[in-house]
Amino acid sequence: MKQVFAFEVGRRLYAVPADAVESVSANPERRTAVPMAPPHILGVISDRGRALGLLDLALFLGHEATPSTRLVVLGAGELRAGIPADSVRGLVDCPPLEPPDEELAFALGVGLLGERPLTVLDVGSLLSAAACG
Amino acid sequence: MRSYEAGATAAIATGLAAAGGALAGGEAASAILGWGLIALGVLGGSTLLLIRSLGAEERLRRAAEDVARGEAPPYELLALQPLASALSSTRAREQAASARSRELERALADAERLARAFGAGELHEAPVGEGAIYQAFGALHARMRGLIQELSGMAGELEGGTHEILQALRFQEQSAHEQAGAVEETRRTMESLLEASEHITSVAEQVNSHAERTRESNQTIAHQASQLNELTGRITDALRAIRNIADRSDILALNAALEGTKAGEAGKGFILVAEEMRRLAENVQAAVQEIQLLIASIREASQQSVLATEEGVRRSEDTARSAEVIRLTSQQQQGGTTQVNESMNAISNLLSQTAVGAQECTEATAELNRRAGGLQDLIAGFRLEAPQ
Repeated sequence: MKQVFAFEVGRRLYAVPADAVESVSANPERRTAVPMAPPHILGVISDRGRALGLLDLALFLGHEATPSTRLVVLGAGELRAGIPADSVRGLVDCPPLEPPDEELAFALGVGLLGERPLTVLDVGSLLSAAACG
Repeated sequence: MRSYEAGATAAIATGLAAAGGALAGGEAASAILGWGLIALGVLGGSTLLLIRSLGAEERLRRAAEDVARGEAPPYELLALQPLASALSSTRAREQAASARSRELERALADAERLARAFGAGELHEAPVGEGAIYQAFGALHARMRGLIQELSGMAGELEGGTHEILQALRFQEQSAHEQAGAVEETRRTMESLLEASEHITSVAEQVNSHAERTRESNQTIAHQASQLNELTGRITDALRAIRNIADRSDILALNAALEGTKAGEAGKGFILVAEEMRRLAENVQAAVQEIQLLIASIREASQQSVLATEEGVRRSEDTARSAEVIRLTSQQQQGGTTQVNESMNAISNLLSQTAVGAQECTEATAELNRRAGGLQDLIAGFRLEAPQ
């Protein structure tokens, strides 16, 4: 894993493997709310003719949500989701990672990007959990 | 005896006439005339007696000589006994008349002396003696002294009074002169005030026109500032568009980089180009943000200048109004000043009339004062006290 795709949600820095990112776009202004859905599912939008669910990552991981400017579309197998992000760092060289604490779910490992802590997420388990939860 | 009598009478008459003339009192003159006539009667009677007694004595002497020569009997002397006794009685009366005559002579001499003295104004000696003449002269002397004293007092008061009036008039003349000076000074002051007032009026008019121009300039500035505001608004719109483009470029570059990773080794150059594009987009966004801050500052400054020019417009309108008020007030003041000047001219005329009147009054009073001095000189001709 030479390069990861880094982005900020709820003032925290996350990264995913570059091949898990389908695309980046502007955070959509309109979305359709989903009835009876859990609170971390913000709604659905139409992305190139396909329905795309929006996941509030901060809320899902138990943090405080902040305004978003970008939408990062992640994909793992059949599962896809759009994650609104505060900002996007883009492709960065992956720092040396340490195994995460047990409390940090869906994490492949943690490291330091510059001086900031970086959590590298396991997109497959994250999307599965979000879709089921 | 007669010539002496006539001389004395004439002297008394002269003295009396002089005294009478000096007194100009008819009553005193007539009293003196009466007493003079009485004195004349007494003198006449005593002279006749003297003449008669001289005749009887001659007859007695001749009869005695006749008897002594024997030409006449001695009884003749007896016959002349009554004559002798009558002669003796006549001699006694003659002696008495003689004494009385001397007394009268002395009195007449005194009267003459006194009358001459009175005539010469010498009133310091009071007549001393017995008898009606002395009484009359005493009364005349007292009356004349009283009158002279009274006259002297009155003349002194008159002189003093006219002197005071003269002083008052001189003071009045001087104060009229000073007033005229003050009026002239006031008139000059009013003229300079008038000039100053006219100057103020013209300056106020200038201020008014300047204020009007300032107001117009301020309005122009306000108009241009609002135009500037509009322009900065359009710049902001343009910046928003640029920012959008930069944002989309950023996203585009991100996606290009992602596509590059999918291309594997062949996509590496592509990723580098895409990342360079991202940096450019980010630079543009930073620049836009900076411009937006500057635009905000400009908008605020122009807003402030709009407010300032609005304040300036209000102030210049106030200034124009104030200048108008000053102009009107100054014009009123000019009217008032002109009226004061007219009044001052009227006062000046009145003062010069007063000065002329005071001059005439002074001349008349000075004449009166001179007359009073003359009166004093006349009265000084009478001496009430003995010379030292």
